[in-house]
Formats: sequence, structure tokens, C-alpha cells
Amino acid sequence: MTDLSSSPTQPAAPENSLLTLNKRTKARNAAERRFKAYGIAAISVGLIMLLVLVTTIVSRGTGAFQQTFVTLNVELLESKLDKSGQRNIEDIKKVTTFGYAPIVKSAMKETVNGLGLQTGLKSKELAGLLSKSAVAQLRAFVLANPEQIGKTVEFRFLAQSRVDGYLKGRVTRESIENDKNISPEQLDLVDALVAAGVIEKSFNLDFILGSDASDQRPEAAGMGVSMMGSLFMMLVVLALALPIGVAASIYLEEFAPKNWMTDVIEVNIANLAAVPSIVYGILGLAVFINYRHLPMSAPLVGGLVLTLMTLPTIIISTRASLKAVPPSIRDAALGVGASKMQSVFHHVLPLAAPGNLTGTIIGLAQALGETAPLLLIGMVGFIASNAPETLSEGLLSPNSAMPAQIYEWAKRADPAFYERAWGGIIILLLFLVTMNTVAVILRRRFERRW
Amino acid sequence: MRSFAKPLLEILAGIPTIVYGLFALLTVGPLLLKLFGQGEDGVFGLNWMSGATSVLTAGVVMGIMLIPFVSSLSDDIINAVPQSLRDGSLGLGATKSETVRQVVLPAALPGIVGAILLAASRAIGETMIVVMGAGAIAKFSANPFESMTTITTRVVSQLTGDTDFASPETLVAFALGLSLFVLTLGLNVLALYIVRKYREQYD
Amino acid sequence: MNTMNMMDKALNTTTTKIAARNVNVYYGDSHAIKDVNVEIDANTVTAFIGPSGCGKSTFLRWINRMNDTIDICRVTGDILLDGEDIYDKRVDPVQLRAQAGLVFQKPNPFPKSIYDNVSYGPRIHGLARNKAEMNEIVEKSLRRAAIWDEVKDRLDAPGTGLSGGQQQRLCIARAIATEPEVLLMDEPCSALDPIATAQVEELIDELRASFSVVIVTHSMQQAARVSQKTAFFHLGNLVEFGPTGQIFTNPEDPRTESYITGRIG
Repeated sequence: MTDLSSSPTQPAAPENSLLTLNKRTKARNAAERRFKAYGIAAISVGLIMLLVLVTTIVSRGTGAFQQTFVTLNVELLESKLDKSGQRNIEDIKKVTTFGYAPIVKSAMKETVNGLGLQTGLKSKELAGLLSKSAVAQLRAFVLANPEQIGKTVEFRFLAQSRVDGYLKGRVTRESIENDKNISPEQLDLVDALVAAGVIEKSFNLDFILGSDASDQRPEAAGMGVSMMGSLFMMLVVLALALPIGVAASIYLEEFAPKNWMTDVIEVNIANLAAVPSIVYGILGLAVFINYRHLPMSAPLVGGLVLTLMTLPTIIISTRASLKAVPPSIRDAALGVGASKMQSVFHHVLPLAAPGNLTGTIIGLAQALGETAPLLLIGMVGFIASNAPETLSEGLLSPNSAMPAQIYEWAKRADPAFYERAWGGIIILLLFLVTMNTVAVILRRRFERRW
Repeated sequence: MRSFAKPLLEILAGIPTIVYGLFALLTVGPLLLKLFGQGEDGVFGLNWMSGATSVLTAGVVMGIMLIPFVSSLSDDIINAVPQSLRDGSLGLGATKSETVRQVVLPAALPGIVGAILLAASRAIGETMIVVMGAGAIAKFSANPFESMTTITTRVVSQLTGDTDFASPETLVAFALGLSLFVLTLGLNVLALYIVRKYREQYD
Repeated sequence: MNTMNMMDKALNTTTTKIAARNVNVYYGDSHAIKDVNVEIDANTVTAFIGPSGCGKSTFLRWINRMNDTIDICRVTGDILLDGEDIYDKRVDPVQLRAQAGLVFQKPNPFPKSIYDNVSYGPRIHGLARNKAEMNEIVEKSLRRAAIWDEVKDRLDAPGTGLSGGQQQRLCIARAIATEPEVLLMDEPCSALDPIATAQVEELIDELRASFSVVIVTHSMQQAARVSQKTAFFHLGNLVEFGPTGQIFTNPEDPRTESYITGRIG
């Protein structure tokens, strides 16, 4: 080998050498770097947008999961709540929330006095630190436990939203100058009560499980009932879209003759998947509510509309997964004497199931986040206060849905609701990201290259 | 990298529009107002914007919303360009960027145009962002800082609440819905035709 | 090694274009090419033959550095082009590929016109100063690829519209338009019918006048027809390398003999 290493051709002419970059290559490499830089810049811009979006959502929304509570010892005076002393539930029910107000007021006053705090506030202003839901909470407790009347019980009341906002930094002494809901003196007292441990922030389970509340009580508003609404809609979507979608895809993919009719259907399905969702809302309003007279605002109607919207997505993805099963599998089944139907149900469909499942999950996620059609069929603009107890009630009684609830909050005047809206977004996104991730993982795990 | 970025894009494309709507209403709108409005109190002392809701607000947020949509679609299309074409170009001594610009992109162009048309159709039919970000004042103006209305906003405002099915407003809303349907359908047919034509080329 | 030394003596009258010294290639843990030494001469057609997966295509792609982009791929040893190590840090693969054009197994014309297909290489490498020069290069390349008469009237037609054999000759024209010194062909005829194959083979023989041609092929008959020298690869080893006639009539290694008589591979 030694003689060989010297034998190759003389070193090539310098301008032709591979070891030195010629001018043109340098220029081209510079262009290459510029081009790469443009791409990286584009990605960075996209990532920054994403980062802004995520930080906005998280920073503004996490507050909703914390809530300010006031812990009070309330003496449930027999003289006010059960004058007869018989513990007759009917008699106790006669006392309205109005009758409980003095009890709350005096409990507040005693707490303040008991801590030795000096304040020039009237007892009405003292009680004003509590949410307007406090009396209702007290009354509900008494009705459930009439035997507790006459005793002193410890309660955790919601603080009113301004106090909550003050503790979270949303409300400041400057911002309340013209606010008749709260005064600087009250905030002074709040500071003192926080120091004494009477007022404190803690995790707000009611935001996740509770129901919406009226304009006056943002501190009590929660997502729970609208989550139920979304759940019932998803049940409807799943129960209708999956079987119809799979049946349609199987027919189109396996049995339908390939002619202009099926071509037209195919093009139409692709188009329907891209039609704006609001058009489905109009359709639902006209068909289900105006023509079929189904109840307005019912999750059943919402589910039907979302089914129409999701069907094309499910059909397209199911057909794609059926198409991905190679014809040799069908031929093999037919070759051993299976009928066409048997070959589809025994062999093709099980192989296509993961793709079908992925498509269904993605379709459901899309339906879960959809708002526009729900506005038209009236799933906004009222307060869904009670969680449905039976399936038929869940389907037919008016309810909201998660995205509609968020929209509702975003429209309200009190900025305290904005925090709720962002918090609602966090819950909604948790659901959606989970569903999409599951879909991606499923597809990744079962993806088969034939 | 790709196996991580692609699902991420798909998940991002699945973020519901209500999120972007809220973003427009509560974040981007006030920010733009601070930049281009409020006269002396604003950042630049401009007074172009009178309220947080404007065409610009909705447009900016819609642009952000469509980034993952368009990039995911374009990625599929660029990915469908056969590897042999890339190899062919690289084998002749083209750099990567030359290959992308002169071979891959021209080959994928029809598909990308289709993707952009689909995005346009989505933008036209988009509801929540414009309802929350663009305002509801019906006027004809070329000033993007003013609030204006769109077909979808009109439909929502006419049909939300108790609907009287015989009233002219309702009928107008239905007519608007029909025009929206026809408009987007036309765009979709065109876009899907282009995309499909493109796919056939390499099947 | 013995073989090699004998051959060196026999062939040191011609110039060596490419010299591979102790080349090893690893894909992750698998050792794809084992200690290959080969000398490829100028103005010669060298054929790489061997059963599937023996590493002959891989080796060809290494000469052109097309495997650079695969992360798990490693190469040791030297591959010299005109005495310069092409895996030297200073070598830009772009510049290298301009000198070692690659023709692929499947014809892969760009979805552009025939003219643009051929002018692509010269344009990116800046070989033509003006339109007239470019026209000249395109015509010359198409003529050398023996396809000029068939396409001269439709240079604006898309290259994808040609027949398979025409497409492959177009790809060859595209590769020689940049005036490479070496033309690497990766099973250029495997996707073609016998008539088109014959045309391409004839072309390869003509190209020998201007280039050093390396052709990877599955077909022993093809290697025998077009090449002057043949290298037989088996399981990543270069088993035997020598004048084509000698390999086919009087192989030294028993494995070569089994392969060409059809007992393995």
C-alpha cells in the first residue's frame, strides 16, 4: 500500500481543490445560513406567541382556583331561627335568608370585637365583607341540621369579590375610589383580619364543582354545572357520531360502488368538515328548535348540533384508517371463504380501530371546545344553578357548557368574572390537551406501516 | 424533533377559539389600545383607537390562531414531496436551502396555496374571536383600528336569546348564514380541489 | 491484500481517481462496511456487484457524502478524491457533490421542464455566465446523455412526462451537466425495461471517455457488459476487485465464484 499512497494524481489545481472553499461555495453557504435563520426566526415568533398565550392564561387563571374565605363562629340564635322552639322543619323554613342577615352581622361584629380591633364601620359594612351568598349558606346548613340551632358553629364564608380581589392584588386602594361596594376603611379591617387569620385564601373546590352565580356574586361562580352540560353533550355526540360515522365509512370504503355518486358524497364530506361551525348552529336552531320544537338550551340539542359538526371529521379519519389496511388482508379473508361482511368485521375493522378511535377522540375534543353553535341554540345568558340529577334531566333541562360558560363570564361587567373565565379556560384546556395527547399516543402506539 | 413538534402543532391547532376570543378581548385588545390609543396616556401618544375592540385586534389574534393550522397542513404537504427529489437535488451538489427553495417548495406550492385558502375560509367563518374582539358596529371603513362587524357577529347578535322565528331579523340572520355557507363552501371546494390535484401528482 | 498488491502493479499506468483506504462504516451498532480498500481509475467503468444488503450502495453514497445527514452513521478510514480526503473537515459536501454526481436507482426528474432539470445543476453552481452558455450546456449534456434527439423539440415539457428510460437518461444528463469528474450510478437500470436498459448501458460506455464511472448493479451480466473493473462485495467485505474479465472467468476467491455461478446471493 505504501507505494500507492504516493502514486495518486498530483495535487489538483488550487482553484479546484476540495480542501479550500471557493468563493461561490462561501456565498452559497452564507445564503444557506440566512435561509436557516429565517426559519428559526419564524419558529421563534410562533413559540413566543405560544408562550405569551400560555403565560397569560396561567397567570390570569390560576387565581380562580384560590378563593378568600372568612372563618366565623356563628351563634345560631333560637330566638331568631325557631321562635316556637319545636324544631319543626316547616317552621324553620319560614325564616327567609333575610332573617339570617342579623345573625351573620352579629357574628362578624363579635369576631371583630373579640380580636380587640378598633373600627368605625357599621355592622352592615362589616357584614359587607362577606359574600351575599353567606346567608344562603347559613340557611342551607340550618335546614339540613336543625338540631344545631341554639349552638355556636364555626363557618367558612366566602369573602366578597372585592376582598378576594384585594388579597389577590386585582383590587387596590386606588382602584376602589369610586366603588360603592367597598371602602378604604373596610380594607383596613381586612388587613387586620388577615393578620389575625380570620380571613385567608385557600383552594377553591367550588370553582371546579360548583354552579354559576349571578352578576352580584362572582366569588361564588363555578364551572361544575356547565361541565355536566358538556358531559351530557359529549354523551350525545359519542352515542350518535361514532356509530353513524363508522357505519358510513365502512359503507363508503368497503361496499359502495365507485361512481360519481360516491365521488360527490366524498367531496361533500370533505367540504362539510371545513364549513364554519356557526352554520351548524343556524341549522340546529332551525331544524331542532324551530321545526322539531326541542327545548331551547338543552344539552340534547347542543349534542345533536355538535354531532352534525363532528361527523365529517370522524368519517374522514375512519375512512383513512380503513384505507390504510392493505387489500391483501381482505383478499386473505375472502380467500378462505369469509363473506364480505365477515372480512370487514373480523379483520379490517379491528385493524382500523386505533385510527378510528384517534379520529373519534379528536372529533370529541373539537366538539368540546366549540362555542359558536351553542350561542345560537341558547346555551348562554342564564344561570345554570342546579346540577342535573337524572339522565333525562341532564339531557333536557337547560344547561350551559364549558366554553359557553366562559363566554358568559367574559361578557359580564365585573372584572372579577374575567379571572373566572381564564380559570375556566385552564380547566377546558386540561380536558382538551389530555384528550389530544391520548389520541396522539394511541396513534403513535398502534400506527402500523404496511 | 419532528416527532415531537408535529403532535404539538396538532394539539395547538386543536385549541378552541373561545381561548383566542378571550385572549383578544382581555389581553390583545387592551394592549393595542395602550399602543395606538388613549391619546396622551398611551405609549406612543397616538389616538387612533377609541376602544379595545377593533378589526386589528381580531385580525392579530386570528393570525396567531391560524399559525399552527397552516403550518400543520403545509408540513403534511411538504412531507409528501418524495424524498427522491430531495436526494436528486442534494446529489447534484445543491445546498439544503437551494433544494428547499428550488425543488421542494415549487413542488409543494399548489398544496400550500390550498392550505392558505382553507385557512382563509376558516377565518371568514370564525365566530368567537370576532364576536369578542372586533366589536359589533356595522360600518364600512378602511381603518383597521375601528371596530366593525362580520357576518358571523351579525348572525350571533341576531339569533342569540329568545328567537322569534318569523321576525325579519331572524330571516336576515338565516340569509347571512346561507351566504356564509356558500362563500366558505366555494373556497373549500377550490382549496380541496387544489390539494387533491396536488396529491395525485405523487401517488 | 495479496490480490490488491498484484492489481496495483497491473494498473499503475492509469490515474487513480478515487482511493478508499481501510474504510469502515457503522450504522449505530451494525458494521455495514468492513475495511474496504479500493482504487477507482479515471476513464474507467467500475462495477460494484454483490447480493442485496452487501454494502455496495452504501459505499457509493459515502463517496458522495449523501449519508452525512444520517446521525447514527459513522465512517472511519479515508476516501480520497484526486488525493484529497473527502471527509476532511475543510471539505464542503456541496462542493464535493459537484465533482461526484450521483444518479439514483429510480429516475427522479424534478417536476420542472426538461430544460430546467438539466440547467438546475449548472445554475446552482454558477457554471454559465449567460443564457447562451446555459443553452449550450443543456444541449451538450442532453447530447452526451443520448437523449437530445428525442427531446429537442419539447424542452419546455415537464421532465416527469417522459418514459422511464428517457427519465433516467434525463437524470444522467442532469448529473453530467455540472461537469463532474466522477459519475456515481446506483443501480441506474433496475427500474427500467430491457430496451431502456440497453440504451442506458450503451450510454455508460460512451460516458467513459469523459468521466470515471462507478456503477452499482445487481445484474452480473450488466457488470460484465459495461465495466472494465469489477468489485465484489459480500456482507460488508470487499471480497475481490480486479479486471472484469478476470473476475468473471477466473475468480480467485471461492465466494466470488459461488456468487457468479449463482450459488449464493
